[in-house]
Amino acid sequence: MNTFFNLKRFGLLMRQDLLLNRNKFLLFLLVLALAIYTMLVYLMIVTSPNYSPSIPYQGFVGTYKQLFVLFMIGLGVFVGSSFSDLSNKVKRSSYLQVPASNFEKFLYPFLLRGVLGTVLYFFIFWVVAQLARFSVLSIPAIHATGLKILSFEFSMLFMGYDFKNCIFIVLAFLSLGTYLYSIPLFFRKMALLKTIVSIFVVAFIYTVLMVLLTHLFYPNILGFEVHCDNYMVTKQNSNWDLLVYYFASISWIFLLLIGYFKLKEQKL
Amino acid sequence: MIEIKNLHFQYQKKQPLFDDFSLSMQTGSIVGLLGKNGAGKSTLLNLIAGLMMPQKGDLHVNGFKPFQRNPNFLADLSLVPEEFSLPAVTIDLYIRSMSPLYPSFDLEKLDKILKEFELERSNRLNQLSHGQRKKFIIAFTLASNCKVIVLDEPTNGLDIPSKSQFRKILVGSVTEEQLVIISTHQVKDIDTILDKVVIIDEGTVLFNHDVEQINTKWCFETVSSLNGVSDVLYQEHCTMGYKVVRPTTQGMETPLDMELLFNAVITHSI
Repeated sequence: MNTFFNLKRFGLLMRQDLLLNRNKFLLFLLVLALAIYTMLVYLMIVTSPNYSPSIPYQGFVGTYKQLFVLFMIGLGVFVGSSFSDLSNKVKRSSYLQVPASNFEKFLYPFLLRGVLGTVLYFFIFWVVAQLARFSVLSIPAIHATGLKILSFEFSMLFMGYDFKNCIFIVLAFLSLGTYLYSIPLFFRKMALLKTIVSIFVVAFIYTVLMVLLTHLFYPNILGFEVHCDNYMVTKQNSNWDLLVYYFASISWIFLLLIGYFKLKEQKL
Repeated sequence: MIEIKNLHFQYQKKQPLFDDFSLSMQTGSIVGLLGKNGAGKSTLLNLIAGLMMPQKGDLHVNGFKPFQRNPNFLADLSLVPEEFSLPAVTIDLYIRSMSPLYPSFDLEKLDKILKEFELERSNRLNQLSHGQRKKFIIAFTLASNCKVIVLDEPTNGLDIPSKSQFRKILVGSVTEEQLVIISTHQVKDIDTILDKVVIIDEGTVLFNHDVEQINTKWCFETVSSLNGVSDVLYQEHCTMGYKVVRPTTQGMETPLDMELLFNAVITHSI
């Protein structure tokens, strides 16, 4: 049997995770969906008396966006629980003993929680948004006001952004998801706190480096000031745009690769 | 089956636990791994199970290097740790989700053991007592039919009837193709089922003998007085007088007193 990847074994591993955790997964999703539904209905109802046909009306696009972000935090928690067994010595022992390859153990939560989870969460949000709109518009008092609520569509999330920015948002979302996914592989205990601290440490080191480089290339600059040339690389993109795009679009590749090797080297 | 040669292992910022440690174990036997607290029994079991990485030396289990955690290796090794965690699901769901991952898993054998341990498939694992959960994990491990079964303190938390049940079930379910390693402090719980005794101390193997060999070499007796008792290798005061270890004389065989043997070995008396 292939020791790196075997489809049958991989399927059994996914089945095992689904069977053992399905109630937890579903309960979490149900609670989250109910909370978002309640918030959506509430916001739609409280907004309705203020509705005036003379004011340009957005049809709740902003509310949809805000609550979608909130819902995605729930997805982040779900994805972030991928390697939760590694945070506890006793559970780590059982997890490492499961007869599957390191690659399979690394891949299945990515597919199950990352890919399938995202599809499921997107779908559930769409259903919840439609249900909330239908529920509010079914209330006779609100119906009488002539309130218009746009039906939720995913294209609403990208309103106001050009194609380039949309790609950037999707890749940044992927990088953030990968970051949440692999955090427990880097930090065993208090992963969230250590992540926040590490972000600050990296930001501080980056700033210090930029200050040093500023002093090196622009000797006239004094103190802790950072000077950086801002110039257009293409017709639409500055050097800073490209730097941010670069980090957002490729960091997930590194996180996945390093994460795999961190899993391989896990000890009790 | 298990070959350890010149193994070196130490925890960070601590003295080496194993230095130049060598040991070999063959299939078809139940091996008792004994040692004082901190002797490294659990660490050795974790190294064998691939949960820790040796810093130097060779360690092979069924021809695999454990720490590589090859899936074929993991499918043929089952460890019951002293502390364990089970999900909050029914026994039936746990079996349905986990057993397909072990190619040699025997569901009939599992049902038989569960029945002997008085456990129902409908029982929820999180509602069982510690002892019952331990019985379940032992049952699951034995039914996995793995070539290597590692049990760390298996009788901890078991009540008196369960301990004898455990011995009976273990002896009845292990085949000649399997190797069972039992590490425990409660030597009296397992002294009748062992084929081999390994005692480790301060990173070395102090004692490594088959039970048959032990019986032919030493005898374990209780005497009211030491007067007239010759060739005493080790003695211990007890309520009935003295427990002694002596070389076996021709035709004389006594039941193995594991606790006495352990103390005799640890004090370098034999």
